[in-house]
Amino acid sequence: MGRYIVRRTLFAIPTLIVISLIIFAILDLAPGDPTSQLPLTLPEEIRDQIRESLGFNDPFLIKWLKWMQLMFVNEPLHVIDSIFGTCIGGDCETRARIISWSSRAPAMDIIWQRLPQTLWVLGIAFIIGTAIAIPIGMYSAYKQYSLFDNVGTFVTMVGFSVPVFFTGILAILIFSVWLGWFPSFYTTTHVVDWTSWDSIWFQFEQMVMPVAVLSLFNAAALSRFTRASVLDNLNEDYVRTARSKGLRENKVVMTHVMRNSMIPVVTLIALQVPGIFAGAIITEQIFRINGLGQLLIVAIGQSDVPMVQTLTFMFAFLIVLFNLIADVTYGVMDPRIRYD
Amino acid sequence: MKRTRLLALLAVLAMVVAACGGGEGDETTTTADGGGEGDVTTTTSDSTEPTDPPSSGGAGEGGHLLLLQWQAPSQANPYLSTGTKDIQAGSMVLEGLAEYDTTGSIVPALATEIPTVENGGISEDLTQITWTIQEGVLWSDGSPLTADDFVFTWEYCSDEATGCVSPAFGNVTSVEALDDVTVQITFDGATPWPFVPFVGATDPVLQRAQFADCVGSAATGCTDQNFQPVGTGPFVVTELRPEDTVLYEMNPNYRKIEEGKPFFGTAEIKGGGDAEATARSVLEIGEADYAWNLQVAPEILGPMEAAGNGTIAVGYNTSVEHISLNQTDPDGDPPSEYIGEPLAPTGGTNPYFYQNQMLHDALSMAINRQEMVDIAYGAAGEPTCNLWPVPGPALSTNNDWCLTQDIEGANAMLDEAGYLDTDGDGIRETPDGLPLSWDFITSTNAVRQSEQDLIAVYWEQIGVETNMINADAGLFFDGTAASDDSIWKFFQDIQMYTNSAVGSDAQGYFQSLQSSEIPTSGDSWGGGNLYRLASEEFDTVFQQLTETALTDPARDELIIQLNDLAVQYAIIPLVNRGSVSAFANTLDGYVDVNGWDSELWNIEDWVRTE
Repeated sequence: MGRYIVRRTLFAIPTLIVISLIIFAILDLAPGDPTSQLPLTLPEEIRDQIRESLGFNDPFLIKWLKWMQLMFVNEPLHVIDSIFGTCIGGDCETRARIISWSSRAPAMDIIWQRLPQTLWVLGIAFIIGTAIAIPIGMYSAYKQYSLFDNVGTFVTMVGFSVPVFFTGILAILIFSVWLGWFPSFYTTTHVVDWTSWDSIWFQFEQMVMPVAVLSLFNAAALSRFTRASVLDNLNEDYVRTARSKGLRENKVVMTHVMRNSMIPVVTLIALQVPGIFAGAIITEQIFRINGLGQLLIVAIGQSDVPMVQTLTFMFAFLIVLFNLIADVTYGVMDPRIRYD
Repeated sequence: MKRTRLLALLAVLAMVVAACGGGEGDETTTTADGGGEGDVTTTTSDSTEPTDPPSSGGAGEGGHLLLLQWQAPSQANPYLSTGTKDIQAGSMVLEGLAEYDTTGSIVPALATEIPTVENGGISEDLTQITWTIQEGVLWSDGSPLTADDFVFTWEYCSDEATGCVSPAFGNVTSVEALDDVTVQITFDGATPWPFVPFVGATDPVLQRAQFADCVGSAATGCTDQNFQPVGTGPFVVTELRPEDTVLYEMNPNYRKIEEGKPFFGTAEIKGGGDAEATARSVLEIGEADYAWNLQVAPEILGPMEAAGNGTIAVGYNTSVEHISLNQTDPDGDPPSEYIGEPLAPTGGTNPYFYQNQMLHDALSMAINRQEMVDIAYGAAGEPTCNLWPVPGPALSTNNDWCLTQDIEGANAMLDEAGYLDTDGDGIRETPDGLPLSWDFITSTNAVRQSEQDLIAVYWEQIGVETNMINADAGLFFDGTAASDDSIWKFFQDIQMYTNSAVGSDAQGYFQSLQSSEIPTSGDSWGGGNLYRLASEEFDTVFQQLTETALTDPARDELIIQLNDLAVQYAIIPLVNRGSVSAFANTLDGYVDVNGWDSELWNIEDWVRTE
């Protein structure tokens, strides 16, 4: 197993380099101009000066190599320096970093600033979604065609097929416009003070709608998947064997069936985790949660190439990482799966 | 299997990126500064200030002001801005010598009065302007504002490596501090309209002490300075989160504190979402005080306003949505370029539109502009027949016939000129046998596509066929002209977009329509005369304008002439576009939407009534 992990990790490095090159090539080939939002009356010389000052006119390979250096040398050094208060190489004050074209600020700082709201909302929605989906899915399968299963199927199919941009707007209409209970936007500058009920309540109020909408969506897909997987296993021979051995039903389902059914489900969950970081672009847009997804969309809209490049690369990195984690988890859950 | 997954993801990413490539270029183009020609003599300070707010106690006692800007500010330094969103954020903090009020007149901000030739502030040869700064103005850090800060701002912006986005200093040869309160700006030639440097929210003064190390290539590293510029305005930035939120508090050293301004102690610009969501917050939910740039369909905005929490207001400047009829031949070789001198081309002229006033008038006459406004713009526009739509003595009335749709008249004109449908397919042909069938391109945008739909129907009734196409705004407004859909290349017969002047400067606007300003491939498609208007008469009248003093009443007549020549055969003006904003009913003192300057130009006067 250890060797497998090492091999996979080593293999990930060229994969990531190729990914970064492809992303870079796509961004470079796509037409787009960082000055396209400026007034049309702006003279061409000034547009050119702006592009020049941003490094927009550099040749493709130079831009890519510069970015690689910033991403893999300078940014990690900056992180190490700021954690340990050191100054590696003695140039920590002037060290170049990946700079966003639109805000002229280090891209990583902005990404770091965006993480809390994305993790708060998407992370909690993910946990709640998973926590309700697995029991519902299992019980639905165990009591197939019962009233619970039929109702559950109906609810999950609705949750699955009605898009978030519909349920989200509906929630805003009901709870913000008509009832006036919750704000329709998310205040990112609010820092939760755990000693103050007001502060916690404020955070709860601004999170409840997006979390509910996203949880429903996440739970719907996952519970269908769980149900199908459990159904498959319930008809397996080993279940009949376990029952005929006289094992209690509880033991059969919770230990034997559950463990086997969870293998594909865990894959699905693991592969959803990068999505938490990538942000739910539509949900963030609707509830005005300025998280990572919104940042990506805004950056694309402004042709802010360094920001788009950095964000997409980080998402790619997370996907590679969680693919690996999913594969390793297979081995843990089913000892028959061996990679060596 | 994992590889497949990765590739699929990349493919999706690729599609997203390719689809979104450039971004919204047009909707936010410019609220730049501006004003009506002929308004320069307005020199009395505070003449257009609103009446004092109801006695509301001292400055900063009004609590929190929540402003929604769905396009969130990226930073607060207008000289590095990527759009109006940043200029608005900066305008709460930074000030210039003068600003524009809601009617487009110039009013003093940091200056004591507006210089004119008469009061000696502008030199007789129009090459110098001398401003006097008010005494005793302090920066928010408590240090005094001096003329030297203006000198520095010029040095900062005129260093090419800074990447300054303001064109204001392009023709400035020097900015000098004659003493602590006197700033003298020298231009490289006679400049009848000297009110660009340090006028309006796009060109404020920066503090030398703060930005001294940010000149040139160092500008990029100055995140703290760009996020929290030291200013003389009513507020200071306490925190700026790019593309998200800006938090402000009252500037303790603001010069109007004794007058009880600003009323609000803290303010916040909250970004994110879209125009509709921010409009809903102010108008329907009542959870915010102000929402900016609400280009939302009238049938959505109307019912929202009816909820009774706020009102919609519109401000106009020179933004005119118009159709351009290509004067050069997009199918020529090279495409869309004159062969030979533009004023006497030996080829490359458009077979339909080149100096063809009859066809232009027929096409213009067939359009029902009022219906177009009602359907596509609602409160955010009004019909116009002029490229210079500013109310006042320089407004042309010679083209007002176009305000009334006249299909019969247009048909009659075409018949008379021999543009007949000879082959019975419902499409007229020119006397040379060319069918009146064209590609018509604009940017991808719901409003523009409904305009296209309407125009297609109007023109069908006069036997004209159009193939309506749209391009992503990032490609259509692609200043690098990498895309063949770029408005500068104009590789189609007809295109439609909005243009507007920088400042109230009609001269600067019409300058770009001279024949010398036609974009060509040899010049990397630089130049502002996208229509390829090549008119000797226009060039001559423009030359006259440059030789006429600002206060000379003859200027108005020349501007009318230039406007009429511009819309004679190359341009069909459609809609004068306003900026739409929503204000909570509890808010007062804002007077109106300022289409000429930052909409937050008078934020110190805003009060809450309740």
